[in-house]
Amino acid sequence: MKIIITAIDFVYNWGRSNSIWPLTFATSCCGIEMISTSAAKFDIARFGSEVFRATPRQADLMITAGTVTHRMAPALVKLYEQMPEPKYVLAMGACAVTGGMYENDSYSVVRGVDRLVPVDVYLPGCPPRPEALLDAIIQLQKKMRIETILERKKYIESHKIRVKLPEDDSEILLPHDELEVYHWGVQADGYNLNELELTRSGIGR
Amino acid sequence: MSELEQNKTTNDAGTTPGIFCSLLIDKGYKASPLKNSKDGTEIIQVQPENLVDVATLLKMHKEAQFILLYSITGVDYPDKFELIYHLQSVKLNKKLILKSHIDKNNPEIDSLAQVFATANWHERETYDLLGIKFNNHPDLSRILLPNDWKGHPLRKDYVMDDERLVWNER
Repeated sequence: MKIIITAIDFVYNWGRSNSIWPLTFATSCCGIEMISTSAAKFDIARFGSEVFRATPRQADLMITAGTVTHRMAPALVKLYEQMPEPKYVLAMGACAVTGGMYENDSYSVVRGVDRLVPVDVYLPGCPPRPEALLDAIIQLQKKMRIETILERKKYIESHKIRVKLPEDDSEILLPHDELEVYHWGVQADGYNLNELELTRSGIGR
Repeated sequence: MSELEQNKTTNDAGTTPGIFCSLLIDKGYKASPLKNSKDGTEIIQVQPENLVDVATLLKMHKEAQFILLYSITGVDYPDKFELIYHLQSVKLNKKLILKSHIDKNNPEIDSLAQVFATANWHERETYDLLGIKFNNHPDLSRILLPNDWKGHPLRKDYVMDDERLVWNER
């Protein structure tokens, strides 16, 4: 039985990992690099991902290319929910990973897309080069190839959205109580205000 | 030092009414000239209640033809709000800047959306970030932040108390 499933897994994973259809989702400047990646010079079609779908119903992968604001967050969660399983998220660029240069003081930016939806591959850079995006897609392919249909439940459990959807018509998305949100960098350690002032005025460090 | 003084004298010379300011004064509007900007653009301060009339005049007058409004800016000063309108005349290849001061406690001004269609979204943005209300605006709702956001972030006395900002907690 196990041998048969392993064989099925091999064929199934080979097929879907070489035909990842991304969703056309570009919220800011990383989208330009994504477009460049899909154009002739870098040619994402070499890895089977050239079919950018304009509807989430036909997409396997969401490349969150760029800053996600609080205005955009409900739309992003809705698009992610509309994608069919199995679905993957690639956080492209510093803004989608941690909030990037908006991490400290911004009022409007969500600090990392992983606070909304689970992320499979993180791709830092501001913006990352097209080669880096291709590398991230290859990493995702490697990840898909070692999956097995026996662990389907585990996969579905780990790919739930990380926010509470509002029950009324409001747009307020808040973090899910049960699911942990990871903090790192300045968000986890905090920073010393005095030191920051010294650095800004050019005296310290 | 000498360069600074030269700049100062040229700027002072610009406070005499320019051609468009004299046009407005001739038509009976309260308009006062301010110092020209560095590229020689005329800056006029107008009364907020005259703003729509002044903009219509500058758009329709044969000698002016400022048909393009390309920027609306709001500034939060300690004692007032200032609105800055940038106009462009394609015919004359000239720019013009209108400034208007409004009350700090009750910031309201008439909308220019009936004169320039592009003012619609610019005014929505100014309303969103500074909380200046535009009377007679067709749809004065938020444009950059969620519709149920609390407060106007670019005000100097803004307090981050929106529920969504729990994302920022460390």
